[in-house]
Amino acid sequence: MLGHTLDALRKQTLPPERFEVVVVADACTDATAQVVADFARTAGFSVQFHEHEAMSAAATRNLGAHHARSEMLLFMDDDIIAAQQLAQAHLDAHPPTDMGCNSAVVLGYSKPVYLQNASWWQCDARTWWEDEFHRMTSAGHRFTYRHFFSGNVSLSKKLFDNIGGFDLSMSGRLEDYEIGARLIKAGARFKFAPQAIGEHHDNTTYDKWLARVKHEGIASILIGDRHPELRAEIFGNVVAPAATRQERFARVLATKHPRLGDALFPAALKLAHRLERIRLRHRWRAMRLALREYCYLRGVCSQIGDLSKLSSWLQDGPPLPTVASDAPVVDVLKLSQITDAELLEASRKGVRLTCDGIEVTTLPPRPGAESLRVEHLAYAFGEHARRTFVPALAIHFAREFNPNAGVRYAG
Amino acid sequence: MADQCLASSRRVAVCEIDIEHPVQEAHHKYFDGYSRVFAVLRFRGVVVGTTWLPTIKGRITLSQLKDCARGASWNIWSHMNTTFAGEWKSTSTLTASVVVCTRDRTDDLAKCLPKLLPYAAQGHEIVVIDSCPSNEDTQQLVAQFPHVRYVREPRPGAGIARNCGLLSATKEVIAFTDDDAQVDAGWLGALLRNFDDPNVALVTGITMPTELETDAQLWFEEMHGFARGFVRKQFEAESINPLSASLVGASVNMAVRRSSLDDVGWFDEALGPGTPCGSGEDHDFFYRVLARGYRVIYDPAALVWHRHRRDWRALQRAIHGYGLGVFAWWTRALVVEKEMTLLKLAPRWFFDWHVRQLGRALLKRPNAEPLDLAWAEFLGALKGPIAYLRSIRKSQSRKRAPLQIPRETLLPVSTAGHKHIGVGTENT
Repeated sequence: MLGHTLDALRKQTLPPERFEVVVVADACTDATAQVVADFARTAGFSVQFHEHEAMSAAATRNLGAHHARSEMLLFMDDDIIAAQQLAQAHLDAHPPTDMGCNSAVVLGYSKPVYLQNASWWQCDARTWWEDEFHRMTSAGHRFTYRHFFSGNVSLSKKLFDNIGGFDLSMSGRLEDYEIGARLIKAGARFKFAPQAIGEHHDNTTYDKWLARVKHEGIASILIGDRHPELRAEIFGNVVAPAATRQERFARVLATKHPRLGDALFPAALKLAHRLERIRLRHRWRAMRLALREYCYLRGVCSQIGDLSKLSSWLQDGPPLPTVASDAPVVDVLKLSQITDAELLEASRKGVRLTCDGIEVTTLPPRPGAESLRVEHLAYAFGEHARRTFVPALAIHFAREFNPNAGVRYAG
Repeated sequence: MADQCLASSRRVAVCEIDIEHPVQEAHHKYFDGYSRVFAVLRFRGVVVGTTWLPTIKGRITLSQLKDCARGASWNIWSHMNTTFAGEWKSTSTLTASVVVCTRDRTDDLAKCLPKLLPYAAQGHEIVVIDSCPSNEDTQQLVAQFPHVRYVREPRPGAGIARNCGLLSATKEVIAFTDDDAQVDAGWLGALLRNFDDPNVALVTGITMPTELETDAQLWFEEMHGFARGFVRKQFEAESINPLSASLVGASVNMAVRRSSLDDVGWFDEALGPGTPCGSGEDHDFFYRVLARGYRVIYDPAALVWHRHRRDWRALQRAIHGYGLGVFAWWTRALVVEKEMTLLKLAPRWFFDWHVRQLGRALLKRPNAEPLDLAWAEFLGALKGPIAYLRSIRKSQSRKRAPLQIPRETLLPVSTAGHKHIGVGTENT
């Protein structure tokens, strides 16, 4: 796979003198070094190779960034095959005036490769990824710490160094979200570059994903410890009750009888696979939700204890913020006149959106989300209008449909 | 039944009503000789409803139109909902190949092709697949349209013809319509804008009748029809059982994303008109699109006008084919796709629908199907599984190279390419 990834870099439209490639191998036992050496001989641009045995994606990326000599870092996973214009598109998306201390984080489009005979979970994963990227194409999309995907992302080396790189203690457990949270706090601007396409040959399976979900549970607590304002954003102000009977059962097993749960887990997983084989979709989905709930809570409880401790941990952190009483009021008809200071205040205190003086909706402060921009407000207004104004207009249209008071039959 | 082949005394005029300009519509439309009108209500070009209106001295009244507008308010809202917030500022530069599969219906095709010509001027491609023709009329007709490509497919079968269309098409999106259909002005644009969402592999549109002159046409539109509602709908395996794929639309008005074909596969050549199965190739395809996790959009902004079968016997055959097609497709889903839920679903559907319909027709219940049609559908459903197995055997006996999507079809197709894969010959 690495060979294909490197070959794709050879075909970049960006002139070879404008970029270098740093390959970092983490505890590799295969012919990685040889593949990179062969590639370096014919690459036509600078290629560095480093090895270590950290068993940590975070440490591996930090090492790569440490050895990089360019101003701009582009992180790519070895399962991403870059399109020809990827590097150029990343560079183009960075504002040119900021090249020195750039605060932009450019997210590439890691397009999931459509596997033939993909499992149901893989189909769902592909849909999820595509939806995520599709949403980012909207001008008013508000990025959060969850949008940092380190498989295809670029940022300035200075910014990366300033925030201290990836957190090594999060290794393998949502280190992307954690660095995303720090970047947002540092005022970084996330940007999506749809032309920075990389084919994502993800070989994650359902079983691997469930193992990852357990790590996510652990990571959620770690992120909450480092960023208390995100606790309520991740879990809600209180632990929500389970939605279905299966989830309730999974929750009891994960929190009160983990040994029994671990013993039953392989059988449940086998059952899920069997349900897929005989195409029982609804039962498979219910089973998937239950297994996810189990794995996630198992991870959470292994880190924090049990649900009561999770509740008190949540209470220790700040609740989800609401719109402050002195929050700024912004009229959508005067959006073009809004100042940066007002937007900053709106990000901190929330904002009341009005239309010609009439309050339409409110936007509370959102932990972990980038500062508000005018497009965010316009988008929020548009979404609100779609749900409320437009039906009202239609009803008005139907009710007021009286085109001619003195109607006579046309005949 | 011969008298039913003739124009019906109950014939109904089909007319479009722009509900934003009801006064003009009421004053300027005159329906001489028609006691009823099938009004297709349009709001800014989009179909937002249909209604059956009685005529008074050959006209429809303003108050009738007022009621129509009120009845369509929810659909108007839905249309405004999808356009108002600027969701449809489509940035897509996709171009499409429009494929028309035809078989010995040159007169219909002569009406269909002129409506497609504006798309050729916009950079889209138009391909006519002449499926197992008995004469050269279609080829001669297509020769009169320099921007339309003609491909002859010597083997019969709608699935085969559609696969030939997929193979001949060179664009990223392949839109299908039938020879007895006429597309509306904004049809292709409405289909294409839905492909902005990368998860969408299939888009279907609404189909309205061009005429309702005979009992066969009237009955078909009243009881069956191709319309699937007047609001845009999004389908995926999570929200709809893929085995109910017929709810998402019909092949007369659909577009497919080429890149999804690697995963979804092609049309099953053992299904469809021209095979022992009679129909079902489109629904089988829809099923696989949903089952592979792709999204399907039904967008009523994409409008096609269809001439329903005038002849009662042809209608009987079609209804028989629908019964056959559903159970043939389900047989495939059970055998090939291992859809075990069909063991429960298929018998239940057979008894709850076909047996019940037959019973209602026998007892002459209100709004029951005519007995001959109910019987034809019932028989079709009974014979469906056997028909599929027969069709499989028949299609296997016709030797051909296995179909693959050649990457070079993204470039202009060469005649040599067609000869190589044996789908027929091409005449540009």
